[in-house]
Amino acid sequence: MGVVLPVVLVIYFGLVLGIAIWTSFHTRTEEDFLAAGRSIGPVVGGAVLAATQISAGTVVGTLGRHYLTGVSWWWIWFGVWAGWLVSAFFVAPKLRRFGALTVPDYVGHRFGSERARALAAVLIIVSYTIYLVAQFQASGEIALAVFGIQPLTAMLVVVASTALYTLLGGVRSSSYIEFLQTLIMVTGLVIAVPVLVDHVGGFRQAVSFLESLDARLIGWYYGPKEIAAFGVAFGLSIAAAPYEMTRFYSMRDERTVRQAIGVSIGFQFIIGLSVMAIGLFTRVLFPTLASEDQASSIMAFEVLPPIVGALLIVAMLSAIMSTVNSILLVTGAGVAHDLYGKFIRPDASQAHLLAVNRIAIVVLAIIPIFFALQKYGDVQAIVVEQSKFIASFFFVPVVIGLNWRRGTAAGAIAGMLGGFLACLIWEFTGQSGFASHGIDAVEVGVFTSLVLFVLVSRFTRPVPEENLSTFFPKRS
Amino acid sequence: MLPLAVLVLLSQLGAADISIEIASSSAQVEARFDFGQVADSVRFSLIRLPGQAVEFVNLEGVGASTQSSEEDGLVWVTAALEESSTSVRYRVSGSLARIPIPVPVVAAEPGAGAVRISVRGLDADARFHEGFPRLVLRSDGSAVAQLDNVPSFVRPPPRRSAWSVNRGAQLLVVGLVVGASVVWILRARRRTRAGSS
Repeated sequence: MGVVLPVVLVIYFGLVLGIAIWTSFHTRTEEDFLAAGRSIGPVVGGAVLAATQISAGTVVGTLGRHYLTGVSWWWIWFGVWAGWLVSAFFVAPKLRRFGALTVPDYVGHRFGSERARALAAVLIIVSYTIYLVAQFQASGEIALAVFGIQPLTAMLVVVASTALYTLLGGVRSSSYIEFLQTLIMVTGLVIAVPVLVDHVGGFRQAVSFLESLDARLIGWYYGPKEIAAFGVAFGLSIAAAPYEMTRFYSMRDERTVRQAIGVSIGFQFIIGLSVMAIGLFTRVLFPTLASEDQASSIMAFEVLPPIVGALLIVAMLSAIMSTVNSILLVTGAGVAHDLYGKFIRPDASQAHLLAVNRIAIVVLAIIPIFFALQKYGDVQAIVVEQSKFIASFFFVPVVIGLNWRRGTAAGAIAGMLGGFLACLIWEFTGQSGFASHGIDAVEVGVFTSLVLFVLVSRFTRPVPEENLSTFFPKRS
Repeated sequence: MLPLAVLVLLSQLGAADISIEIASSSAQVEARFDFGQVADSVRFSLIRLPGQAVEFVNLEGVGASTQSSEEDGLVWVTAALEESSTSVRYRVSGSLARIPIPVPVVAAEPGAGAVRISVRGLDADARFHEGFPRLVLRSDGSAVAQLDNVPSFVRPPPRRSAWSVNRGAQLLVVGLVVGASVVWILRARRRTRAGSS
């Protein structure tokens, strides 16, 4: 790849830094930092949602899964998009109308409970720390395959550069940077496909080879029940994903949010198809890689022409950075806004909260590096796990809570805790039995959360009308 | 495309040295694999393209119990390993657009650059970096690639005058970047003018 990759990387990081510095001049209040002054439009918003959704889990993990298991993994996208549609119709407009700064803000206000807010903040921080582990692990894989440098070095570089632009401009800088990142991802992935088709000698030859290698690669590697479980995990977690919901707050109005979700699904469709094709073609070109997580970087570095390969490596780094950035904004806000600002120093000034937020971002960025170095599983597996946890504790209080006025604070707390614990217990005790009983931890978690939420809400004091009026139209 | 495989089971590939000699109507391939340890068996997969014949000339370092079988177009050859390294020699005739390489099912250590491919008999004016894998021309006339993994095949690079998808893709990326920059500059200028008027 010669000098092309360094040149492309320098241009890319220069652009990112330029946008971050430019937006930092417009970031003066906590609302600017966490909601970009509510100024983001549908196209940039849609690209931002796509960039946040398309993480290392997609360009490294999903591509690796397609490499390893073939086409059947594609079906999980329908679960993802179903989650987006639930969000577009039942979650996003109401949340945007509420106009909070963080997702625990919603929990605290909707259920009229600071305890529920604190619990939501803690669970979000825990779950997203797992998600960051996947992102950092992916950056390590790319660094090893492309640059030959140790994973720890790569993780520190990703943390430093992402934390820098997150700290400078908050949501405003990350929104414009993620717009750029989505364009790079789509361009890099789409252009890579015809190059690979040309190398493998056409679709028919590729399919024929894959079929001979392992017939499941172009059929059902995973059974429908497993695909459904993965799809449900992704769908339920997307419908109530705090890092996506935070982005709704930065958009102009409810209509913009819905349009942005549509734009985002369009981007995801293109990216999903390209990722599947690239994973399969890489299997044809290199049937035995040491790790499926290396498929994307090996393909970019050793197969594609230098400019396209460099663009794709930048796209992969973009996907990691955009997701790390989004998660850091959510977890940093969880610490500073929802825990420190509400329980420790309620009288803290805007400048003080902003400073705490920035310190929290740095600390929360460093912790997952330790776990990423242990390599507990492949990237996609870690992403799936965190999706299960998010869905298990958050889907019911968000989606049902926004559409069922009888939900109470006690019900929300019981639902969140119960769902989280049920998922955790099932995951570590019942997973090996999946093939026989076909019930996944996410289904157990969400079901437990739903039952507890409804039952406990029925027997506890309703939420005051002034809290509900924001989310439910007044009865005439 | 008919994949062909030779079967041997091991944990890690230490090194692979693959030499290809391309002539007008056929290519001779010698692929040497070092597994670092003696094991019972090893397994390779080899793609055979339509209109292509692959004739095995010699298998070294394997025992007499070598067997082959064909299932759904996939030929499995199971060979007992007598040494830590094995060598496969074969001749490819017919279409030489892609020259198949036997790929062991065990991977090499990531980042080790353990796979060396050397190709002779290519046109001197070929765009070597546009082949698969990307090749570099040496002073002795051979084109070489150093990789981490064994590829399924070698695709000889196109001639300098020929159009290629690689070249088109690179031009498309440059065009898109330039086009997007021009659009962005024009929009920024329009906004500045609108703001000042």
